[in-house]
Formats: sequence, structure tokens, C-alpha cells
Amino acid sequence: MDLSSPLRSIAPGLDSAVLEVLARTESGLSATQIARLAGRGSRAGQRDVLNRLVEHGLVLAEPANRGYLYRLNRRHVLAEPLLAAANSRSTVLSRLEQASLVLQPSPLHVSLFGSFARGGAGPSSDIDMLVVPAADVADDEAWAEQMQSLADGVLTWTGNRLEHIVLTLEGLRAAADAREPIVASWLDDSITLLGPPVSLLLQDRDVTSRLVVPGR
Amino acid sequence: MSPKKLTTRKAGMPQARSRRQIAQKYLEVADVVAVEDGAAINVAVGLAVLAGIAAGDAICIAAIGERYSGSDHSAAAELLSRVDAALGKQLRRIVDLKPGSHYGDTLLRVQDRTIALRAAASLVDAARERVP
Repeated sequence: MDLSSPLRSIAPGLDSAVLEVLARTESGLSATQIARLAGRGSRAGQRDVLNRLVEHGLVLAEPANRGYLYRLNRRHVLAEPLLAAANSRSTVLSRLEQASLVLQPSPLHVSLFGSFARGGAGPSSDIDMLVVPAADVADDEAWAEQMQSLADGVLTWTGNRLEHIVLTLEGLRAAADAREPIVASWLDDSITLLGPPVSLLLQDRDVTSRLVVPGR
Repeated sequence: MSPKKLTTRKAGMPQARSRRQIAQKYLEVADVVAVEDGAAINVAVGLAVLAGIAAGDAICIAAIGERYSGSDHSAAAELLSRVDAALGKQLRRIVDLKPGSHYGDTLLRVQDRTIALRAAASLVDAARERVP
């Protein structure tokens, strides 16, 4: 699915662009503001979409000094599924967080990086995950099964593939010492799902002795 | 069942044999490179991926007369899983190491290379058995 614009997966046309803008705020927006925030489609096309959505009651049009202010009708029966679809990035994050919690042995750290973490992922983007296990799991069949199962889950939930890098804490620190460019992405753009952030794992060499690892 | 549509291409036994031979060659080269550590680990894992993919193609052609025709290695593993779940799993083990080689020069370790070469060897053996 389009991970940065989930409604687009359901409604590829201009409707999703307009609805995404309206779903982000409870305040009324002018057609000009909607056009600027939507970033795609012509003004005429957006006006047609707004008129149709008003006709269906999903968008309210309130007369203003010049033209109308439009807002999503949050009491409309379609508003709830619409908002759920618009916020499905949060649902994906929540499911990944839950899935990270049940990995065994419990990892020291799980985070997302790359385009999904930066909010720029599209329909063909992978979801990139960094996992720092508490023990060396390189040759652990049960661990490999869990990661494959998680990847299958992500593909089923989203249609996007999960790509994961599994690094021991020593491996993570070695990558930082070797100035691997990807470490900057882990430090700057990642979303931590479990455990301390990468910055803490790299700074605090005694962090493992003070961590309370869930389920252990 | 995956939500992705797997694009395939029809092929016959001559192509299966060709893919099996290519798989063997990739694995041979991977074994040669595997005596070196450092950046060569990435090269060995990369060659193991190619060996596994080619072996998987040979196995799929022999079984269903088709091979995966896209560029998504995970999808190739998925098609192989439909033919033989255990072999598909082996290919996924190797393909799962790809991000480590894409994102840096020092992220893969000797253990990763061992796993990749072992899985690639299993796949090439299976291809040899099924595609004489």
C-alpha cells in the first residue's frame, strides 16, 4: 500500500488527496488551503471532488467571507473508517511494536529506518527494520522462522515487504566505528519500537547490564 | 497466500539445466571468495544469493515449467516455496541477508556468510538432483 498516503491505496484519484488534508485537521479549510496542502491535482478537479463530497455529506461546507470553509464531517458514518484508513500508518507501527514484543529471545532493540520511518514510503517501498538481538541468533532456526513470519505478516498487512538487518550489539558498535553511512540514518531518522534508541546503545557501553529486557 | 502477484515466465528443461549450471558456477566462485574476510564477505553472500536464485529457478522450471521473472528476490523465494516449502525457506534465509550487504560494507559477519553458503549449497544440490 502507499505507506505515506494510505487513502491513495483505496482511492487513487484526487478524492484521497482532499480527504487526507481534511482528515488531518478539525478546523475548516478554504479551497486554496486544501489545494496547497494536497499538493496534487488541479483546483478545478479539487473543486469537483469537494462538491461531490459535500453532496454525500462527508464534507461540510460553511460559508465564509470569500467562498467556503470545508471540514470533514466527523459524525458521518463513513468518517470513522475513513479516519482509520488515513491513520493506518499508526496501525502498522502499532502492529510492528506488538510483534517486536513477542520475539524470542527478546531483542535489545528494534527500530524502523528508511523511507517508512521518514514518512516518504510509497506502494513499492520496503519497510526497513533494524533488530539488535540480546544474544547471537545468526544460526538460530527458531529466530529465522520468527523473522520470516514477521515479514509474512507485514506483507499481508500492507502489501509491502519487510527488510530486516539483524546486528549484534558488537556488530552495531563496529558499524559505527567503521563509520558506515547507514548508522547516521539509524541515529537520525529511525523510529524505535523496542528498547533504548540506537544513540544510547552506541554511547553507553554498559547499557546491556542495566536494561530490563521484556520477557526475560 | 501472499498478496503479491508473482510474475512468471514459461521455460523448458534446457533452460532449467542452464540455470542449474549457472547456480553451480556462482557457488564455486562464492567458495573461492569465501577464504577472504572483510569486504569479501559481502561478495560471497551476494554470489550465494545469485546461486540460490538460479538454483531455485532450475527447480521451479523442472517442477512447474515456469520460473519467476521479476526482480524481487523475495518473490522468487515465494515461488520456490510453493514448489518446495523447505527449499523456499532456505532461499529466504539467503535473501534475508541482502539488506546487510546493501546497507554497508561491514554489516555482514563470517557467520552470515557461512549460513548463506550452506543454504546456497543445499539449493544447488537440490537443483542437481532434480535437473540432471
